[in-house]
Amino acid sequence: MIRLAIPSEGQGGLDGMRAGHFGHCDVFTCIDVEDGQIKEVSILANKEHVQGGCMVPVNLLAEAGVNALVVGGIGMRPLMGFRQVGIDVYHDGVRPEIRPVVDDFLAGKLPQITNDQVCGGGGN
Amino acid sequence: MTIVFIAKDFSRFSVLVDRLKQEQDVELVPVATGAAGLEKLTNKPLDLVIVDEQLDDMSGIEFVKQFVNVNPLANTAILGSLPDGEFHEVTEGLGVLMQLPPQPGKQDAENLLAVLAKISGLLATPTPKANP
Repeated sequence: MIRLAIPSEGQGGLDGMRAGHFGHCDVFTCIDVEDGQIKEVSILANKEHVQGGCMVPVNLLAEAGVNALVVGGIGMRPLMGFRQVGIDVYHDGVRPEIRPVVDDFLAGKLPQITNDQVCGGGGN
Repeated sequence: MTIVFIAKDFSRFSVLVDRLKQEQDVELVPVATGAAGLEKLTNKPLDLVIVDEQLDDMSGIEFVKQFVNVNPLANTAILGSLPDGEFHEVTEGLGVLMQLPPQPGKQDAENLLAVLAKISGLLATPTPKANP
């Protein structure tokens, strides 16, 4: 099973809006996928964002059993942290709505983010 | 909690190190080059790396840029004197806890310990159950 997380604004949900910065998002919309079909959607509250606390959301999502994440942007340290705990990070830097991004993920159309797509001087 | 301090010379950091040692395991790693520091710290379990502003072969910021690739779970702090805005700009995405002044004092140690305690507390908080 794939548990996909989408950083989300407000209360999240499939019809909600994505958050531009995963560390500052209100919640993560978590979508459980089996055999290419959505089995369940759940909402995971984010924790407080602290400067340098990149591993807080990494740890949160890993403990929640997430193994895939879609971001609009991410810094090098959290990207490497997600990879280290076995969470694949996908990229869509354009669309603000959750549902079409999930649809593309299910269709295998979303690319994994590459090192040269990371944000900031270090390559958030 | 293990804190590693990467620098060629620790004489400027005695106040900081003495204060940190009261609370944490502090290991001083005397290295001339960032490459040597990276080799020593790759995948090493540790909580915080403090790196000096300049090593022989690279700046502290360059060290952290490479360090996050080999040990992303460890927190970092860098000594330096960049204006806040510039520091934020050049370290964005690297998840650096803070910039410490070139000759850090006791209050800097207190600030660093406070941030570490905050992050440790967030990491230790049980993950809330996901709600449908």
